[in-house]
Amino acid sequence: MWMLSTKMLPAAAVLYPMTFITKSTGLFDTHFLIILVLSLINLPIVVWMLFTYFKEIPKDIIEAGQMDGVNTWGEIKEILIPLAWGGIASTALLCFIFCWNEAHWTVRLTTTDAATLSKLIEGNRAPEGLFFGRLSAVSAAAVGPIVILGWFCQKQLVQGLTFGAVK
Amino acid sequence: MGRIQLKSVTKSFGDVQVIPPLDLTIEDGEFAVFVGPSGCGKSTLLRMIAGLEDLTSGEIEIDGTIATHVPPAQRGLAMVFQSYALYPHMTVRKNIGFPLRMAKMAQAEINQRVETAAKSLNLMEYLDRKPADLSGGQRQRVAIGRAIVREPTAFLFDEPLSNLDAALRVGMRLEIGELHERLQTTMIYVTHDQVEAMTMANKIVVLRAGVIEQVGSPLDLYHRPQNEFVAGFIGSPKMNFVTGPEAEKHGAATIGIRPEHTEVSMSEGEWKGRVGVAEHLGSDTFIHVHDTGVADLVTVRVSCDIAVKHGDTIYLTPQVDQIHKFDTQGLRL
Repeated sequence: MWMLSTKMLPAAAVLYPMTFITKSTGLFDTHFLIILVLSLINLPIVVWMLFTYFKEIPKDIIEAGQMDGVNTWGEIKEILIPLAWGGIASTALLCFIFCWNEAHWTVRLTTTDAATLSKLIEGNRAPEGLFFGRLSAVSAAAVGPIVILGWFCQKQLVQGLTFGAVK
Repeated sequence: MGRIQLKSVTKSFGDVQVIPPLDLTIEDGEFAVFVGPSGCGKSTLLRMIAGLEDLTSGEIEIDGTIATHVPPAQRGLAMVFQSYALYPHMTVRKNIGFPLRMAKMAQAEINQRVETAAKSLNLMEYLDRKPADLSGGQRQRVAIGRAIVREPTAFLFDEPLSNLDAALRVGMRLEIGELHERLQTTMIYVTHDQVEAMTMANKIVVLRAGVIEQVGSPLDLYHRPQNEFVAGFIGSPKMNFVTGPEAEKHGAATIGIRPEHTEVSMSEGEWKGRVGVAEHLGSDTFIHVHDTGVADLVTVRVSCDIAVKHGDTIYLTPQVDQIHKFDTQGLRL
C-alpha cells in the first residue's frame, strides 16, 4: 500500500518542480528522462502486482526446492520465475499500455527530441482550434497497436487485472 | 545409514514454546511415525529434522554428525510434502530428475535413475505429462519418486496421504510400506491418523503439545499404553474410560476398556444399557451404548451376526484381564 500511495499524489502538484529540475539538469526533452519518468511512475504498480503473484506461489514448492538443493539463484530461475511467468507477462503488458497511453508527463517534459505519440496528438491543437482531420487520423493510429495487442493478450490482461480476486 | 538423534531439541515461536526439550533417537532403517492431534508439534519436529525450521536450542545428529546448522539439501534427507509440492511447470521426468540436476549429475545418469524410479512406481507412461494431468495418487507417487532418486539416508513424510480419498490412501499406505521393506531406509512419517501409524510403523512416537507421551511399537502402545492420552488416542474406535465406584472396584481412579474387550449379551451382564447407534461395517458392528450408569457412552465392537436396533436393552461385561488401570494423574498402574 505504501508503494501505491505514491500514485495517489496529484501529478499536477509536482509539475513545476519536475519541469524546473529537468530543465536545470539538462534532462528536459531527452529519451533518458522519458524512460526514467515512465519507469518510476509505473514502478509502484509493478511492485504491487508482482508482489501479489510471487506471494501466491505455494511455500511448499519453495521448500521442496530447498530440499532438492537449489541455491538462491536457482530458486529464482528454476522455480519463482517459471511459476510467476503469467504474472510477469501480464504486468509487462499492462505497463506497456500505461506507458503508451501516458500523456501528462510526456507532453509536458518534451518538445521535439523525445516527443512521444501523445505529444504528436497534442500537437494538433492550435490557437485557431483543433485540426480534426489530422487529430482523428493520429488518434486512430495511436489506438490501433493497443487494441491489437489487447486483443491477442486479453487472457493475460484479464488474469493480471483480476489476480487474487478469487481463489 | 540413517540414524537420527534429537538432543534436548526445543522450538519457540516468539514467547510460545511449541516443543519443550525433547530427546529422541530413530535408528537406521526404522519406520518411525510421529502421531498426535492437530497442533501437537509433529510437523514442526519433522521440519526441524529436515532443516526447514530452525531449532531454538538443542542439537540434531544425523549418522553421528551434528546437522543442526546444515542446509536442508546437504542433510541427505528427502521429504514428501502433504501438498505433493511438485513443480507444476515441469514434466514428471523433470520433476523426478530435478534434485539430481541440482546436484549437477551427468544427464545419462539422471535419465537412468529417473527411469528406474519411474519403473518402481509405475510411472513410466506418465513421464512426459505435467502434474496437472495426473491424479492425486499419481502425483503422490511422483513426489515419492523425486525423493527416491536422491538415494537419501532418510525419507521424511509430512502427512503425505491426507489429500487422497479413502481407497487410494489404503493403496498408497501399502506402497509406502512396500517401499520401506525394499529400500530398508529410515523413514519418518507424520500423521494424525492413528490407523496409518499402527499399520505402517516399527516405532510410533505419540506427541501431545510438543511432549512425547510414549514411544514404542504399535502393539506395545495398543496393549500397554503408559497413560490415558495414549490409551485414548491409539485404537479405533476409542477406548472407553470409566471412573467412579466402578473403577475403584479395580483399584484405579480410571479404568479403560477397549471396544473389542467387552462381552455383549441381550439377557445378562455386568452393565445394563440402551443401544444408541449401531454401525454395521460388514465384518464388525460398533454399538454405541447409553445409560450404562458407568460412562456417558460405551462403545463395543462385536461380530456382525448380532441383531440389535436403536433402543434395545443390552448387557455389557468387560473382560477383566483386558482392563487398563490409571491413577488420578492418568498414568498407568
